[in-house]
Amino acid sequence: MSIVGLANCIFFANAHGGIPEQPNLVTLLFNRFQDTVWAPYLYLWENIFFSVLAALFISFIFILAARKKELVPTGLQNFVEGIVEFTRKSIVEILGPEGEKYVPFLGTLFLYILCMNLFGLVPLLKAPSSSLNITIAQAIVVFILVQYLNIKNQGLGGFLYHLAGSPKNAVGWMMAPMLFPIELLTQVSRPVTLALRLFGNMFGEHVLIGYFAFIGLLILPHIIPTGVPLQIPFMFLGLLTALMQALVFTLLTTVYILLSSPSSEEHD
Amino acid sequence: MTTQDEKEGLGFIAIAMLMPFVLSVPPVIGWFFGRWLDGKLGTDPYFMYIFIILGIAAGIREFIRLLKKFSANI
Repeated sequence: MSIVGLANCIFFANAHGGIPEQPNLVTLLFNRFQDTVWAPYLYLWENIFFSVLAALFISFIFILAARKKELVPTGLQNFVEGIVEFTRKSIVEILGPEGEKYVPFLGTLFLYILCMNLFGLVPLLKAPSSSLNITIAQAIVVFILVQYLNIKNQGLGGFLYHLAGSPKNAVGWMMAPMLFPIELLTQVSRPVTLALRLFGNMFGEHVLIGYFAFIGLLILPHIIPTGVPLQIPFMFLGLLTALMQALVFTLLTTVYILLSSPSSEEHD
Repeated sequence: MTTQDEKEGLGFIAIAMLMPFVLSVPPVIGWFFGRWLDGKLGTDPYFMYIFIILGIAAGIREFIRLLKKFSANI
């Protein structure tokens, strides 16, 4: 088989919509064991498989770090404590001391998204956040939490009043029929924005790395048969994107929680 | 670079990443909703135009709100 044929085989074997995909553990298993019952099933659940793997990885690291707790932390405990401290500080800075109770949720969200994003840069793994299904699921969780907090903090009537623009005089009540759909559209567009932004950025990065790895295999095939690793600079860029996307998702969720608190309305 | 500079830089990058999505998603949702409403009520295309305009207003309003919150916290 020629180099071009081999490269096509590797990158386009499981391509979705003609987009080259770097081979990962699941696609390799699927290609090798296509005739079995489990391989197509595993391939169908590829993104779920990697997202569960990310959750298990984070759990494993944290359990390992918390196994022998020392007063003066060293090694893994020190590393994990640093991450937790950074997350806690960033959230409390925005939400104030009351935000302490949201640290477990927001911290988990940040670490989970960061871990999923970084999976895309590890050979044989895939970033599940480059799938719209996964990002929509996360955005729906955030949406449900924010709506629950809106109703809990303001009451159903208070929330509807807030959606109508909190009218205080006759002009405000006249504007209410226009402000209500505007506010409703804003609430609905928030999870869509969250999901699309994360998916778009991660999918774009995934495609970019895939294409450059593919082109790298085709450059000078007779001199460098293993290919030129053209994707390496974009993988460094991917490190930055992975961190930024996880941070932006968490920051936005924090701001949405802040906006759901009754005190924030006074400052709007 | 000081920590404050880093935080400001991070905040501005976050806003730059947000801007296109926050401004473009509400009109698209408004378009979908307006078309659905037009289909139900037989008023094609009036609700579609109304909800696109409301969506643009919602996008600008949300963007200003987020900008205020981000700049207050960085």
